[in-house]
Amino acid sequence: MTALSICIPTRNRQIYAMDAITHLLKSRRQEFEILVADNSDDAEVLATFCKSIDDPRLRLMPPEDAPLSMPDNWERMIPEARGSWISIIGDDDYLDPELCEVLRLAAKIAPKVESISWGRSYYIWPEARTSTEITTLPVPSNLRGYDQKELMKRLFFWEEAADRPACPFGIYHGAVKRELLERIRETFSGRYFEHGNVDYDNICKTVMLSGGFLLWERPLSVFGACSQSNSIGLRNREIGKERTKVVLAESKFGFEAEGFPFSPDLGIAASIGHTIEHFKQRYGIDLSGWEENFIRACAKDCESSFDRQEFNARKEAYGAAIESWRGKKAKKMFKPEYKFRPDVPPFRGTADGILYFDMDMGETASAAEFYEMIDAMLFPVHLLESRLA
Amino acid sequence: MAHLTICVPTRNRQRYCIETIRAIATSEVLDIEVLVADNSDDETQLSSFFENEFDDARFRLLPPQDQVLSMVDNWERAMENATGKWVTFIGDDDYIDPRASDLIKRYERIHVDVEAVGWSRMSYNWPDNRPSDTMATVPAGSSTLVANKVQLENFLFRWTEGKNRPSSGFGVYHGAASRKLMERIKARFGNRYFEHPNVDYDSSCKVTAEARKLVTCQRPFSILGACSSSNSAGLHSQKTMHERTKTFMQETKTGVPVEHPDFPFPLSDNALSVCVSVAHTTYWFCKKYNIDLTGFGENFVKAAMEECAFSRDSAEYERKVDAFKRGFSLWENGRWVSHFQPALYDPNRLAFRHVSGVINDVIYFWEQKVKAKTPGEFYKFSERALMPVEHILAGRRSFTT
Repeated sequence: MTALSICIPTRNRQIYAMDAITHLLKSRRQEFEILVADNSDDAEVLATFCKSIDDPRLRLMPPEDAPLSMPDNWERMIPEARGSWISIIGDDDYLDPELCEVLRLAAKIAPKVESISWGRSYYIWPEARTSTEITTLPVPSNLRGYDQKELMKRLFFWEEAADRPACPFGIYHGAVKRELLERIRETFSGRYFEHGNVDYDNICKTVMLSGGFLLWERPLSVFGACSQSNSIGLRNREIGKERTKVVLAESKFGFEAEGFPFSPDLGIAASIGHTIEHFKQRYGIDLSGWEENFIRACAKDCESSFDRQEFNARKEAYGAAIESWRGKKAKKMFKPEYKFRPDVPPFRGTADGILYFDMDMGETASAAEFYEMIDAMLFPVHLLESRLA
Repeated sequence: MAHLTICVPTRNRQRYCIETIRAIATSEVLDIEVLVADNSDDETQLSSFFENEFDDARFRLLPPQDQVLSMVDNWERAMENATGKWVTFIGDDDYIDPRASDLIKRYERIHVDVEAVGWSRMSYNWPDNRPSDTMATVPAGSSTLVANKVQLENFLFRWTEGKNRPSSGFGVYHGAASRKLMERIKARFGNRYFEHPNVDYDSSCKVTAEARKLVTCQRPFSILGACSSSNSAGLHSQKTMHERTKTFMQETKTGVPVEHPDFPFPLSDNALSVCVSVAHTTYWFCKKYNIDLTGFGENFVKAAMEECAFSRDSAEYERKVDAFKRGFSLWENGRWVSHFQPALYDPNRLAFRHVSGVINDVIYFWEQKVKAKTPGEFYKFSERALMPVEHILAGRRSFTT
């Protein structure tokens, strides 16, 4: 039986997807599969590549006649996936098949858990870097359960949020049980995915319906960003605008929430704000008391700008939106500060439970190679069980 | 005159030594001197390397003498030939970043009376020395600390930490001492730079006792390497360690005995340990030079119990417990026998003694997953997770996260 389906939706970035597949298949584990949903203009590249690999763990879904929206490309993977657990990563990301061991243990120690997540690691592909980039790894490696109430506070009330909610559960760089996905489809609109921000669409639904949540603080996947990534686009407002346009057009039931006057291309806080608000409005969830935390997230979103002009533009646009949304009193709470100091070097080493290091450590050429490198300095997956004993 | 002399004593491990030389030579630091003190049976390998394959004026080879020297005598000879204002020693399978010389210069500017400089050390097992799952360690700190001399002496001479070996942190081995200090050491202690066969701890004792100011940097500048023929490699296997210690004791038949006659914990016992070996050295030093040993007995009991707890298996645990019991019954009229109450053997303790991850600001790397093939390569790889040397040298204190 297939324990895990690692799903990789991809569009016109075959070279990245092929690198991830090649590394995934080096695993000796047999209880996982890789399902690639190709949405590229040229079907040949991945078809030829997959044909050259004789491994039953790999399956390719070729492009359809016309390119699909991102939610539709994600949607078509779920019925095809054979795993009891399903996880989706980007084509420039990586996920360790050793996740199967964590899933096995979860079934043993917490059988009601339907959503599992892990620590985050971030990698910018070498061609997308313009200077030295410092990345982070969480130092602790505890396995801990989460209470649904706490996660609701984190997601819907933006508690402890940075520029986005601090809620890592969902199918994207997380694993969810097939049964949970079926309940999601039955409960909400008859589809697995609907909003253009597919990852947060799923986080909202997972937090609402999952039977239990388990987080291993040790990273098991890498959030990659190549030059064509949306996350790289967000660093520049103009590129961000272009990419947001595509996401807006792809939302099945509209992207923007009503009465939420934040342009979705303002930044990550505005974009996720729309996703969460859209979800709440569509499914009749009415909450109050989250606005102040959201305004703080807007400020943090501005503060993530390295460029002073970019910071000012964001500050002005967010400020105007906040004022039009909740009035002058709300705007007074919005106090972003330009914090980027080019003259102050970045920290390296450990501080507050985080290891900071040069992303070029080991001169890795891909997200998968980067994972192999960090895996050497992370708690060994195979010892998790003895640690729990 | 060179600012820092890096001494590399070597014996019959030419392949590793040549790698070490090549790795150090990639540095652009100019005012260093690297002294390779060859004590090998075959002198041609290193001499031919220096003559035909290597051309770097910063390096000097001291060829083997007519007879093989003991380790302590080879160190002594290297020190006598060193011309630098400061001196440091590393093993032939180790690595040092020559920018340690710049670090010392910085500390000389800030602390005019500094005489000993320490730094954190990484550890790395060469690919031929990984009989099981081995870890390389990288301390990730970057602060500077001026040592509290009283505390340091308590740690090293009286073992007040109660750990299975005392923290030293200073000495010429993977640390630096000023020439001025080394000359005072020679004048005060037996008219030699080094006396005890356990040369690194000999130097730690003397530097700790004699240096006026000792400053250390938490960022690593060197690597303790272990190849398959290292003494430290013996730690992986009891049998290997036993063989090595036999050789070590035979080599040092003359001069200071490796075992102190008043300290009845035999090194030749099959339960020997680094703990006992270090204790012989610090005990010898304190006895010989009248250093106060108050509290050592009580603390050594704690160290012995921790040493037992670190056993690889229950058989080794039993051997160690028996050996310590015998030793304590003979030492100081059995005064400490009743204090020696080791905890029962816990196999789980070992399982998590060596795992990858970050624990107490030290990064543990699973070596089989690391691509670096030599200590030099490993240093260049792992220092990407450390504070860049230029920030340390500039004394920077504010950083962005």
